[in-house]
Amino acid sequence: MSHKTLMNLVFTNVHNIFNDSTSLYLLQLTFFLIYAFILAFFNQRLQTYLWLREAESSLKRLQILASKSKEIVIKKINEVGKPNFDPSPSIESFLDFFVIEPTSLDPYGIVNKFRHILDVRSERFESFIKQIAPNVPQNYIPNLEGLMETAIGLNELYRLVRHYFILGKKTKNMLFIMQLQMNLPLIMRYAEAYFSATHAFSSGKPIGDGVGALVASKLMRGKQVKRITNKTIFSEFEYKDRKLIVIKAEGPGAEIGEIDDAIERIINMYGGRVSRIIMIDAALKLEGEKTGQIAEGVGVAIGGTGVEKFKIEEIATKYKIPLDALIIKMSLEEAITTMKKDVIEAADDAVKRVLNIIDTRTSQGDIVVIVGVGNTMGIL
Amino acid sequence: MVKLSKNNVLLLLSILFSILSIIFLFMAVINVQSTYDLVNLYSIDFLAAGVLCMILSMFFSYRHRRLLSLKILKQSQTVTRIRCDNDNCNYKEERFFQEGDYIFREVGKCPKCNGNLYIDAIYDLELKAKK
Repeated sequence: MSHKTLMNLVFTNVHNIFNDSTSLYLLQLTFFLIYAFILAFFNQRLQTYLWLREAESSLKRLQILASKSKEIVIKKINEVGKPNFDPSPSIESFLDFFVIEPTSLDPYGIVNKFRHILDVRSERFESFIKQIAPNVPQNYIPNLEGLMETAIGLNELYRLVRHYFILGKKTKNMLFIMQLQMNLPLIMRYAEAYFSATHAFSSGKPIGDGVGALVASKLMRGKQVKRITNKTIFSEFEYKDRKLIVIKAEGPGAEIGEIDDAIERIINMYGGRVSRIIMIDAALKLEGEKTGQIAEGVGVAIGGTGVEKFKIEEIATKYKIPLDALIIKMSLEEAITTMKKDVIEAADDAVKRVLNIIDTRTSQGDIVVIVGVGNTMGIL
Repeated sequence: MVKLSKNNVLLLLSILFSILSIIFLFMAVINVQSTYDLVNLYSIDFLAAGVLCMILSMFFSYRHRRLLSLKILKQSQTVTRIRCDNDNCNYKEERFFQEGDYIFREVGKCPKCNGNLYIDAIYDLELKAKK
């Protein structure tokens, strides 16, 4: 039977079915029954399948981002560290690096335990970078540490999503798959931000989180700078008959410094005669808020694990020193990627706000400590 | 001749089939209207071709989106702003970021007043990365 005859036969039959009212009724009934059957028994399966497809697509993107960030790390380490061996296997195994938090069953002394573990982690990171990049200049080590951290972050996100995806697929449990699919938009936002951060760390560009350090740097520009603790500097100068002491991490490497120790030392150096502590830091904005918006409050403006916050609160409470907090708002993406123009402009406004606080809330002869909190990468 | 990427080919195919689908569906309607017969063979032909083109268009559009989602986005450009430290001189220049740049790094002498030039700001030109 030729192709044309077959087509004619099919179309003629279709024509007859549509012309005959009984056949048409039966056809409609069949369609209705099929539709009802699918809706009754397969709707959840269909939904689960669609969610899984979506998760699979995001997982593929995550895998690309994680492997690309690993490539960037390896390339950078080969470029600046010039190792005479292949660092890839060591980097590959270090991507699974983890930190076990101290137990909180007995919370007494947990802050010191946490501090100890974080110090060990920091040492471990530094020694690893020195091991795989033996010729790296000292001031470039923090940038490589930051780069390594972003690669670890991306790898962790990828493994987590893969775990829930496979678990959902194996168990066919709608709850697992639904949870994964609903969290995916946020996870992917973090992943893209981490990936952009990889580029910033690999070339040493200032990131949004460094706005506090930038404000401090603007205040101490042209003044004599001394080191106070490991990776932390300070500058002391007169301003309208007040003594200002500005503290920040030592740049331009990706350092956050030991701000808590520095504040403690300064306060002890002056026997507790500090009239005010003003802290400037980047903070997460709520959706709808403008990037670079400055808000003022009281308390210790510092993020992280809470270890530094605890120490600063302790010493400020001991000497009853008022704490002013100035925060510059931005999204998580903006905080870990290259600084935006709005943030740069906000730093100039923040300097004015700090000077205004000093003018209005302190008197002549007062000692004021100003702390620029944040990662000082790309900022002297 | 312009060489098209796989992405653009998929996009063009998707657009082409959606146009064809509209044309076929339109012809099916015209045919029904001119013959007053809902089930004449030509309109079924046109309808089938229209639906087929629509499915193909959706398929290529899906492939295009999927390929885009797997593509690494291009990073936005970073700018280094240089200023003169002389308060009376308003010399300012902007250039693309170079590795080794950092804020408050001294980068030479001012061509206007011979003061010291320093990097005043480093920032991203655009908020969203380009596709």
